[in-house]
Formats: sequence, C-alpha cells, structure tokens
Amino acid sequence: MTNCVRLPVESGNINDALKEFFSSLLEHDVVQAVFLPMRQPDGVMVMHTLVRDPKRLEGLDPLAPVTPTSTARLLSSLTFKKPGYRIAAFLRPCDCRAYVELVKLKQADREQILLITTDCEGRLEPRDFLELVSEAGDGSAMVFHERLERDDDTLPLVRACRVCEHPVHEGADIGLRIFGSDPENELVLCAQTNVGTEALYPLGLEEAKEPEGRGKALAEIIAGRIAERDSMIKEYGERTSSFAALRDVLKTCINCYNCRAACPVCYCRECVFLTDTFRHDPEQFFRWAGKKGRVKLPTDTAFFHITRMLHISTLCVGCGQCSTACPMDLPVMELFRTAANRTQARFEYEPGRSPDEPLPLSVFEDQEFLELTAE
Amino acid sequence: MSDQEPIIVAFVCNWCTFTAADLAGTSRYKYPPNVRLIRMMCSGMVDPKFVLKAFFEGADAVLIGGCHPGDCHYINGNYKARRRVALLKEVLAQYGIEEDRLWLRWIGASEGNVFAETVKEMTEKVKALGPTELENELVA
Repeated sequence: MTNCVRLPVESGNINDALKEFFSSLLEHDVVQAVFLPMRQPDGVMVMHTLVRDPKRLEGLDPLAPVTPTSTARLLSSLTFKKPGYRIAAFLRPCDCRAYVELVKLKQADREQILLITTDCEGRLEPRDFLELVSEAGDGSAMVFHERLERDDDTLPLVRACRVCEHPVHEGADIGLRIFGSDPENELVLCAQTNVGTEALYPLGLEEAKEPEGRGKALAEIIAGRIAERDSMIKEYGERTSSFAALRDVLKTCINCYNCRAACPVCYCRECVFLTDTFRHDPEQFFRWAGKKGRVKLPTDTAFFHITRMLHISTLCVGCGQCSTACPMDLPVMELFRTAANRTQARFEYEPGRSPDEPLPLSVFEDQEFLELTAE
Repeated sequence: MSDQEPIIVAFVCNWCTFTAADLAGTSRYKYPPNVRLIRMMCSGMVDPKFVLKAFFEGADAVLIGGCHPGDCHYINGNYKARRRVALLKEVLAQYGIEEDRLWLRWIGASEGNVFAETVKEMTEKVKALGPTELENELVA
C-alpha cells in the first residue's frame, strides 16, 4: 500500500513546501500540534519545537542535518502521559526506532502520534552543523544534500550515520522521499500506514508515485552502509578483544555519564551509577588501594560502560548520540554497536523494528538457551 | 598457569542450590575449597552487576545456581536468570572473558552430589584457563 502526495518546490526552497504541508495538517485539524526541527530565533541552531499555531511555523527546517539531542527522548517528554492532542512528529529513522523502544518501555505513547520520517542522509555534529550554517545560512539542508550527492568527502558526516543500515523507517506513518527523488523541484510524501493514509487524505494534495529511482538508490545506500558497519564492527571487535584492550579504549573516560544522559533508550530516571550503590564509602578506596598498592579514581569506568551494554545494548538503535555527547571523543557508538551486534543477534532482536516484538529481557521461554546449563 | 588457587564466586539460590550445597556438606561429599558461596533468595535476583563486580574484584569464575526449570520458588526467576546469563556471556566474550568462566547450573535441593561434582568440574576447567586478565584491573 503506497499512497503518495507531491509538494511542489519553488526555487529550491523545500522549507516553504514543508511549511505549507505542516500548516495544512494543523488547519485541517488532522493534528492539533506539530513537533519538528526549527531554526531558533537566533537563526543559527535548529531544535525541535512544538507548534500549535499554523502561523508560527516560520523557520521550520526538518531536513537541517543536525540532531543536537535525541528527539525520541524529547518526544517522549510530551507523551509519557497520554497526550490530549494528536501530534505530528517529524523524526529521523533512528529516532523513530528509539521511539518505538521507548513505547515498549512504557515511556511514550504511539497512538496519539502521527509519526513522520524522512529518507535520512545523515547528520553532522552540532559544531560542524554550525560551521555549515555560517557558510550556507538557511539553506544548509539543501547544501548538505548537494554535497552528499556529489560525494563530497570533506563533509564530516557523523560516523553513526555512515554505518547506519536503517536510513528509512517503514513503521512511521508517513515518509518523506529523498533517495532517488528530486527534492529541488518536488517533495514526495508517502503514507506507510493506514493512519498515514487517513492523515494525508483531507489535505487534498496532488497525488504522486513513489520516485522511480528510489528502490535502487536505497538498496545501494544500504549496501554501502552495511559494508561500513561490518568493517567498523570488525575493527572494534578486534580492538577490544581483551579486557586490557577495552581499558585502553576507555582510558580517557572521565565518568561524566554524558553518554548515558544522551542515550534515548537509557531511560531510568535514577541511574544506579548515580545512587549510593556507587558512592563508595571512603574507607573502600583505601581498602582497594591497600590491596594492589594503588587505585585510580574515578573508579568503575569499565564497570559503567559494560553495565550499560548489559542494560541497553539489545535496544541500541545506533543513533550515535552517545558519541556526540562525549567530551573526550571516545568511540562510544562504536563500542556499543560492536556489543549490540552480538547481543541483538543472540536474542534475534532488532530494536525499533516492530512495536509488537517484546523486549528481549522482558520475556522468557520454557525451552531456550539450553546450552547455557549444559543440558 | 598460576600457582594461586582460582576463586569461584557462586551465587546460589536459597531454595535449591544452596540447600544442595548444605546437603553436600552434611553428606560429607568432598569438593574443592575454591568456591565462595553467596546465598541469594533466587537465581533471578542475580543482577549482572554482581557478576561483573565479582570479576572486577578478582574472581576467576562465577557460578550461578538455581532451581530446575519449573521448580523456581518464585515461579520463573530461573528463566529470567537464564536470559541474563545469555546476555552476560555475549558481552563478556567480546572482552575476552572466556565462556567457561561463567556457569549457570540447575541444581535441586536433593542434589548435593551434583553440587559437589559441579564445583569440582568447574574448578578444574578454571585452573586450566589460568587467571583472568582482570586480576590486575581492580575496580576497573
């Protein structure tokens, strides 16, 4: 089932076309609020903004190549109690998948959300984005797109995106087509669910077809990214094949826990690492130092990272916010995707794939993993 | 191979494996003194952090003992333990901590002999593996 509509783009200004679309969603009361990336009044940074007035959509910039913080988590802050409004939310595929996980973790609501996503070309780190804006101004999204189109290697695409094998999210209600399409002249939006079809219908937009070249373009992009992903996982699998090697990769970690705070699926309101469990008695440090002669502080660095892998690697969608948040530029995303590759395979689980698949650690079977108990 | 005797930290459930250990003692079964028992109310209570902590603080191996499937006194704690062990093994294996250093075994309350045999077998395997790298990585 595909049910696509076309938004004409005039003089390459995709944001005007999208503005009309989102404003129309509000005016037709398909939704009562939209939540999407917008340039802030300073005109520089792009942050998700909740808009209820269709006249206040100025500065919207859904395709600006930046996600300063997990937007799945931001959306869940609007929906952890069932909202009284229908909300059209624009999220990148990784954030869509993280949002699905948050719904399963009972931290977010899916029913009131009209989930709109895009074919995702990737994002830049916030600092690199600001640099792009200083050159390209409001047109950063199209400049980014054009530079990717001509394989501009100098574009510092986030590594998480380079290795992302999920540049689309089929579970979203509506998908904006970029791959194999011509966004300079028209944008094509396709309903991917019944909810999406029903949302597009009242808008009375011109019907369209899936961009012809999309299937092929998408397959190529996915194949390229899978190859990069596999070589990254191989590299980090080897680089951390012993505990000492892991310690070496983590040697500059300062236990700031930014990666945890940035992670969309690390949802505990009170992380155990911030509780008294890890606020050791002072005497404890002296005992440790006494046992081996000395002890490095902060302690529990690898403990923290490995615990997080145990807690959330099965749910890791590879968004890369952990690496973005790390002040020491540690390859947190690389470590997590390497561990997640093993744990997700063990439980045959793909985070974000379906809201109906139970979280691996929330269920069990009578006859499974029998090899573990030597049966 | 290290001259030092390996240390096995065993998290054993109150109802089955701990009782089995008790029975092994009262039945005069002999097993190596390398094991350090920690009595838990249920194998389903063994937080993966406990296992990590044991390794970080110098354990050469960890044994988790629970009731046989269907016998859990809390209905399904042992099934939860099994999923957690599957998860732990995947993550630990990535960092070179051998599969044989973490054992999950179902040992019922009447199986004192099985407990003794398990500890014996595990001690031998762990001796063959030698000390973990983590020994020098206290409170990592």
